[in-house]
Formats: sequence, structure tokens, C-alpha cells
Amino acid sequence: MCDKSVCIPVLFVHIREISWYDWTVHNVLLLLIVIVVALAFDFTNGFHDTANAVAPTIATGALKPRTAVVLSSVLNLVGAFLSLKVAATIASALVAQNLVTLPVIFAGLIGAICWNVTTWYFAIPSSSSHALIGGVIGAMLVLAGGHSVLWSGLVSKVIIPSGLAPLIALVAAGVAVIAARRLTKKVDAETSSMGFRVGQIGSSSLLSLAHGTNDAQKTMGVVTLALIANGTLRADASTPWWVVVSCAVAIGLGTLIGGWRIIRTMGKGFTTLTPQQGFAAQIASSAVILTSSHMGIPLSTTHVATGSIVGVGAATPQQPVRWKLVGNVAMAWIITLPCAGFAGATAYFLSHAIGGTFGVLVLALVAATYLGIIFKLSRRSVVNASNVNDALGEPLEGAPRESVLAA
Amino acid sequence: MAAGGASSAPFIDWSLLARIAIISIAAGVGLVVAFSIGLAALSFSRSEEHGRIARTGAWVVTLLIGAAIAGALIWGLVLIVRKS
Repeated sequence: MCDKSVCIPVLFVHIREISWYDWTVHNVLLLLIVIVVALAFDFTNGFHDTANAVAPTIATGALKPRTAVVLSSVLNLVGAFLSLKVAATIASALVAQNLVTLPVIFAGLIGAICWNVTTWYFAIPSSSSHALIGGVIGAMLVLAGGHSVLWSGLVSKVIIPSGLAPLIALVAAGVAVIAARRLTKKVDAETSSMGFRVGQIGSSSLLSLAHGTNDAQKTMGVVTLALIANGTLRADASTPWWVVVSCAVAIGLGTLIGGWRIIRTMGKGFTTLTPQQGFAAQIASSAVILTSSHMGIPLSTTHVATGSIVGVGAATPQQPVRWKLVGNVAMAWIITLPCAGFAGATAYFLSHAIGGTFGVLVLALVAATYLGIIFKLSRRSVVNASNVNDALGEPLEGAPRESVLAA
Repeated sequence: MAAGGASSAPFIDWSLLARIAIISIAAGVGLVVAFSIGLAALSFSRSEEHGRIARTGAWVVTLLIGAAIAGALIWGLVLIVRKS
């Protein structure tokens, strides 16, 4: 549990040992900065990944954009309380806990936030989880070298599952949509469309719940790691309740903002979704995420949701897939770990070069400036609830031009 | 770090990944199939072309499938919460 002498800085007023006092205040300040930055990452994770749960629902018109995002936000919040297995994996299976320091976690988070916001600007549905893992590993490599990273954990719990997850989702969604099409071929189009739209409200809710269950835990894992690194928690301690609550709120608020750029890419970019396809994709994604989350494997919900959407498109001959865009997104997935790692490593190098808490504060300022510039640039081509369903990109291969314009 | 002893866990737990794949695909496809059957049954029950008994049967199928889907979802969530 949290040691009150560390958690409540006011108590330091009563402490007369100046050198110990200075050291502790610096540590508490650093810990607070790391926790705030971790919650900021959780917030970006929320708005970056809103698309995973709501893009098909919005694209098919099952729910209005704002309604879909609010529903997703609430269920992300609820989902964050359901399971803590992934948090345990993040905190213990990827880096040597005894070597982790607060500046390393801070630098990793900065790298992950910068990568998340950059990919959001370019409307690329990349993995927030991989950005986080890459950022922390990059900073660890600069601090302590290759032996500080649990490569076996990285390969077996991150890289292999991340390669398999979209394929599993693609197969599940493809088989599901073929089965649904055959089972409902005698149902009139209007009833079928209405029925699957109603179903999509349920499937979108389930997917939001699954996202909260899986993704909020990653930040919980990082905050737990920070508390362990600071000596506030024992290495085998469980995640404190206030970490669970604050991470749940942060991801819920982030989702509420709505990452409209990525929603547009996922809802309108890969293929033109029907309610039946949207339902099948979301149910398949939920099944994969909840199963893996239950078994403690930190999957990327973005990879899974993208795999499902591509799967339903590929299984429907009349609805071609924009494979060029799929290829570009897959390339972004591949470079996410190394790029976020490079950003995390650079952040750690710079903060370490400046030194101490001051270095961390300077780096936080630099990162905030960068985020401000990206936000300013994004205002040049605003995507929001009113234009999120507009047509996107080049025509689908083999599809008439009209279908793209109608999308 | 993964230990290299004879009793250590395998580097990649393929059986765990296979279980995730099988359960995910089965659950995902199962839910979509159940929903589609329910939707088809609902549509059948509302069609005037069929007899009263057939339509009542379709209603029962719709209700049973609705209950089964709800039950499966609740059971799944309870399982997740209880085991974590």
C-alpha cells in the first residue's frame, strides 16, 4: 500500500532533517510528475483508441457520433475496474523492475505520448500499447543497456501476440460475417439493417468495455512500476485502488474527447461497412480482446479492431478493401515500437544530460511545446463529429466511384 | 528474465496463444451466429406468410437466443471479474 509519508507531501513540514527532506521532496515531485504524465498518456490512449470501439457504429449510422463516443467513454471507465491481469504483465514481464527509475518511466511516457499524438495527427490507427512499451524500453536501454530488458517477455507477450492478434481477429470477423450473411439472406434488407444496427449498439458497448479492461490497465501497470521504482510499493505489491480509479477516469475522459481523425480512417478508410459487417467486426474484436485480457496477454486493441474491420471487408466480395491503406497502417504498426523506443531513449538522454528533477521539468516543457505545435497544425484540417463520416481517400479498388462518394 | 532451466516455462507459450485464438474465434463467431439466427427468427415470426404455430415457434427461438446471448455475456463478465 501507499506509504503516507511519501503520498502526502504536507507532512514534510514537520521534518527537520534538511538533506533528507530535500531528497524526499525531489523524489515526491518527480513521482507526482511521472504520475501526471502517465495519466496524460492514458488520456491520449483514450482519444487515440476511441475509434477501435466506435468507428463501425458511427460509419454505419447505428449511433450518432457524439452519442457513440459518450457511451464508449462511460463503458471504458467501467471496463477499467474489471480486471488487473494485464497491469501485472506490464509491470513485471517486460523490464527488470529493480533497474527501473522514475526518469526512465517519465522518458518512456513522453516518447509514447509524442508518438501517439503524431500518429493521431496523421490519422493512423497505431498501437498506444506498443508506443508505451517501446518508450519505456528505449529509455531503459539508454539507462542500463540490453540486459535491463526482458527480451523473452517482450517477444512472447508483446511481439508474437501483436502479430497474431490481427490475424485471429481477421479470421474470426471474416467467418462471422460469412455466417451472418448466409443465416440472414432471407431476411428483408430493412429488417436486417435495423437489427444489426441495434446489435451494433450492444457490440460497440462490449468493445468499449473490453478496451477499458485491456488498455487502462497498461497505464495502471506503469504507475505501479513508478511506485515500485520510488520505493513506495514493494516489488510484489498489487495495484493500489487510487491508481485504478485515476487511470479509469483518465481513459474515460480521453475517450470522451473522441479521436475523430482515426475514427474516420477506421470507419471509412479500410472499406465501406454495412451494419452486418460492423456488428460482426465489433463482436469478433470484443471476443479477442476480452479473451486475451482474461489470460494476461496485453494485446493491442487497435491491431485487433483493424484486423476485424479488414476481415469483414475481405470476406465480402461486394465491399472491396483499400489494401494500400491497410499496408500503410501495417507499416506504421511495425515502426511503432522502434520509433517510440527512439523517442523514449532521446527523452531520457536529454533529461539525464540536463540532470535531476530540473531536467525532467525541462523535458516536460519541450514535450508540451511539441504537442502544442501538433495541435495547432491539426486545426488546419479539422475532423470532428460533423464531418467524421465524409468520404476518405482514393476510390476502393474495383468499386464504382459513386459508392465512395456515398460513403 | 526467463530462466534457462529444464523446469522453466517455454519461451513462447504457444498453447496459451492457441487457446486464445480458439476461444476468441469460437466466442466471436458463436455470438454473431446466435444473433443472426435470432434476427432471422424474429423476421420469420413477423411475416404474415407463415402459420401461427410457426410464427410462435420463431418467437420462442428469438427469446431463447436473446436470453442465451445475455446469459453468455453476463457469465463472461462475471468470469473475468471473479478471476482477476
